[in-house]
Amino acid sequence: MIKTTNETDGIASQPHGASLLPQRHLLLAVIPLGIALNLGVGTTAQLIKLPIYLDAIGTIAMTLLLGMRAGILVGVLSFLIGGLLVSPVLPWFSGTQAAIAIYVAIVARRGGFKTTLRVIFCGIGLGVVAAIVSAPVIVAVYGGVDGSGASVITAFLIASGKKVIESVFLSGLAVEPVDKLLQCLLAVWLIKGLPKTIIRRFNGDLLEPNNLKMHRSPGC
Amino acid sequence: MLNPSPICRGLATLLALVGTFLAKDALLVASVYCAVLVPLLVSLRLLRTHAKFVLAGVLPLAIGLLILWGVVIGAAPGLPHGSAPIEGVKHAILMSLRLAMIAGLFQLCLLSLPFGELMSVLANWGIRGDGQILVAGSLTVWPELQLRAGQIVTARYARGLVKNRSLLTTIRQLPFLLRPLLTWVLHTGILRAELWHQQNLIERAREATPPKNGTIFGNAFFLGIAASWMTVNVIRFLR
Amino acid sequence: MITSSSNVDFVPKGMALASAGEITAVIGPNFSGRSRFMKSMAGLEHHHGDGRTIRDELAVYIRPDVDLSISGLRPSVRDEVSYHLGGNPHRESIFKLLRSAGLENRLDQNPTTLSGGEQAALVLIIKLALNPGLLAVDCALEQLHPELKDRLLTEVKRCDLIRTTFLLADNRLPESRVPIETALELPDSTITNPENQHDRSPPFGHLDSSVVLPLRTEPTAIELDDLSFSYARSKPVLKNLNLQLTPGKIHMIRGRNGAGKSTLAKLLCGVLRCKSGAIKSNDRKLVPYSAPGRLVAYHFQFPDSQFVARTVGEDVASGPAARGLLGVALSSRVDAVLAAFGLETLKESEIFELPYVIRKRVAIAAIVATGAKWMIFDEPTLGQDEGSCSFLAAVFSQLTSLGVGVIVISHSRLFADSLNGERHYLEDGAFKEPWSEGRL
Repeated sequence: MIKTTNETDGIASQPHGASLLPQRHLLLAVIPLGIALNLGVGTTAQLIKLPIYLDAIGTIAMTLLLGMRAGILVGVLSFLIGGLLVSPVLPWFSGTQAAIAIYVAIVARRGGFKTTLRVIFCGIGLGVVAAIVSAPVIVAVYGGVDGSGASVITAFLIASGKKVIESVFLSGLAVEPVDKLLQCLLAVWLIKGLPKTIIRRFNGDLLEPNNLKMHRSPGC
Repeated sequence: MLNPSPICRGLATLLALVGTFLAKDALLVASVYCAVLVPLLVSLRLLRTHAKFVLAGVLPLAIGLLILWGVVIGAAPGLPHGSAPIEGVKHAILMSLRLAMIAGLFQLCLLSLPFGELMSVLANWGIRGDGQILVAGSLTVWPELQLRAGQIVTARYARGLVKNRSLLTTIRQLPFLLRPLLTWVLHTGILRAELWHQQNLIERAREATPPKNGTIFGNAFFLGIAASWMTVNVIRFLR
Repeated sequence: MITSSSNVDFVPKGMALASAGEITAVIGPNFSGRSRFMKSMAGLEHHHGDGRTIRDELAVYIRPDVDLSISGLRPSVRDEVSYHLGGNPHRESIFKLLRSAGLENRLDQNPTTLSGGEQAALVLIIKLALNPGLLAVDCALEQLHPELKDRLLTEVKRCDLIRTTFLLADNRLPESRVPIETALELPDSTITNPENQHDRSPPFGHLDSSVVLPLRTEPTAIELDDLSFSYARSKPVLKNLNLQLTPGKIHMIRGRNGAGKSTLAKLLCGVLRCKSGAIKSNDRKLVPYSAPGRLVAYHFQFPDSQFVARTVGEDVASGPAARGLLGVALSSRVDAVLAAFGLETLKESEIFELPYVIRKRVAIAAIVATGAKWMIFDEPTLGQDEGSCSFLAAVFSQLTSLGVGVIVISHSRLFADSLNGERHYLEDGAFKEPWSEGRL
C-alpha cells in the first residue's frame, strides 16, 4: 500500500541517530495518529457546538507534512472509522476528504500556502471544492440535510422554491469556504509552531514551496 | 455458535446493505430493524454502543429530515411542494431508519469481533500487510489520543493557567490543545516508527493470521437472512 | 559473554562487558554517557558511520519514558502481550510475570492508559517476550515500587528469561535487595569522542542549590476532612482521608503502585473534584476550587504530559505569568530558577530536543517558578543521579524555609530519608500508621 521510496511522499532520513529509519515505518506510525487527531478534533468541535466544523484539520496538516497519498489515507480512514465510533454521518463524506487532500496537495505544490493572502484564496477554493463534492452525497444519502448548520440554509432555499440539489449546493457554498479557509489558516499556524526537531524529520516536497520549514512564530 | 466465516460475514453484510439501500417501505424496514437487527445487537452486547450512536447521530438527523420533508417541503421527492405532508414525513422516517439500519449492520459486522479475530477477518478480505497495520493502529490510538488531550488540559489546570472551571473557559482551551496535540502526534509517530524498526515489530504483524472457519449453521443463518432481506427489497423496488 | 567491539568507541576494545543470564548494572552519573552506551549496545546509535549493529540478534533498548516502548498496534494489554510473544516458548513464564506484576486484572485495558508503574512493568515483560539477545533497560524501572521491582527481577532471573545479556541502569539500585552479579561503571571521562560532535555531552550548567529563589509566601495550612474519591463507575480510590498538612515542612507520601497517590495530588491541585468530604484551608472550604492550580501547583510523574509551551524559558515563565507576575519581576524569577537548575543556556531550547533527565528538571523548575503556596512533586527523582537527588532535596528544604508547603510522592527510600520531613503512608485509599520499612 505504501511504497518504500517515493519522491512525493518523502520523509528524509534525519541528520543523525537512527538514520536508517525507513519512511514506510514513519508513515505507518504517523497516519493512525493523524486519523485519531482528525477524528478527535472534529468530534470535539461538534460536541461543543463550535461554529466551525474542524473536520479536515488533520487531513490538511497531514497532506502538507506527509504528501498527498498519506493525506488521502488520513482523511478517508478517519471518516470510515468515525462512522463506526462517532457518527453515521461521517463515512459518506470520505470522498470529500479525499478531494480535500488532493486539492491541498495540488495547490501546495504551487506554493499556495506560502503567504497568508494565498492561504485565504486557497482556503476559499477548498470550500468550493468541498461543497461540490459533498452536495450529491447529502442529497442521495440524507435527502437534503445532514444535521449541520448549513441544513437551515438548505431548508430555507428549498422553501423558496429551489430544487433540492441546487439548494444543497448553494448552502454548501455559503458555509464551506469560510469554514475551510479558517481550517487552512489554522493548519498553517499549527505547522509553523512545530518544534524544529520534529519538522526536520518531515521532508515532503509540499513544505519547502510554502516556506513552512523556515518560519517560526512564537509558541503559545 | 452463530459465528460465520469471514467471507460469509462480508457477503451477508453486503447483501443486507444493498437490500437496505433499495428499501422503499418504512414499515418493513422498521419491523426488520426491531425484529432482527436489534435482537442480534443485544445478543452480541452491542446494544449500548448502537443506542448511543442512534441517540447522538441518527436522532438529530431524523428531526431535521422530518422538519424538512414534513413541514418545509410538505411532500415526498418528486411531488409538488405542500401537496402531501404525510408522504414527506414517511420519506423522512424511511431515510432515518435506513441510516440507523446501515450503521447497525456495520457495527454488527465489525464491532462484534474481538480485536484479534477482526484482524484475521480483515486479512481474509484482502486487507493485509501495511493496510492492516494502519487499521490496527487507528483502532488502537483512539483512547491514547483522548488520554493525551485530557492530559494537556490537566497540565494547564495544574499550572494555574485556567481561570475557572466554567464550560466557556474549557472551550477556550481548544486552540491551546491543538498545537501540543499535533506536536505529540508527530513526536510519538517518529519515536514509534523507530521502535518498530529497531525491534522488528512490524514484521510480527505480517505473520500469517490463521483463517477462521465459521460454523455451517452460522454461515447459513446470516447469509439466509441477508439474502431474503435483499430479495424482498429488490422485488419491491422493481415493481 | 559479549565483549566490546570497535563500534562502541568509548569502551576499551576487548573489555568484558556482560555475561549471559545475569543482570549487569550499568552505573554512572547523569551525562556520563550511560544512555548513549546502552543505546549503542542495543544498536540504536551507530558509530564511525558504518551503520552496523554489533550483534545480529534482536537487541532491545527500553527508554526512561516507558510509554514510548508500547507498540501502539494492539488495543489491550492481552493483545499487546500476545503480539510480542509470537512463537516464544516461554509463554508460561511471561504470564507468570504478568501475574506477579499485578497486571492480570488489567488485561482488557488499553496499555497506554495504565499508570506509570504498571506501564513500566508491562514494558519490561513484553520486551522479555520478544526473546531478545540483549535487553538494555534505561532507568525505566525506577517508577516501580521497590518491592515489586525486586520481585520481578528475581522472577526474571529464576525463569531464565534472559538469553544473553540484561543491562540495567537504575539510580535506585542501591535500594534493591536483588543481588546484581556484575557492575559496569562508566566514569565521567569515557565519553570524549571528537568524531561525533553532536553526541558530546551537552552544555548543561551544573545544578546550584545555593541560588536564592526569589519566592516568599505566607504559610497556609491545608486540611483534608473526610475526603473520598472514586473514578466513574469504579470502586473508591480514596476513602475518608483525614490529614493536617502544615506549611513550611516537607510531607512525603509513599504507597504501592495504584494506591491513590497521584489521585490525591490531583484532588489537592483541583484537577479532580472530590466526591465527598472537603479540603479546607484556615477553616475555609477550598473545594470546589474556583481556580485550580493556584494554591497548589503539581509536578507530574511523566514530565512530557506537563509541558504547556514550546521552549524551556516559555514553559518556566507560564506559571508565574498566569499569577500576574510581569516584566522584571517575572524575568528575574525565571532566570533565578533556571540558574539554580542549570538551565540558563537552554532557555531558548525546544523542550522536545532535550534528554529525559533534563526534561524532568525543566518540569520541576516550572513548578518551583510558580511560587505557589503548596507544591506537589510526583516522583521528582526519576532518572536523576545521586548529585541531582541531593540538589532536589536542598531545593525542597529551601522552599519550606520560604514558607512553601512541599509534598513529595516517591518510591525511593533513600530520597525520603534525605528529606527529613513528615511521612504519610497510603494503602488501599487510606493513610496507615506508622511508616515502616517492613510494610514496603
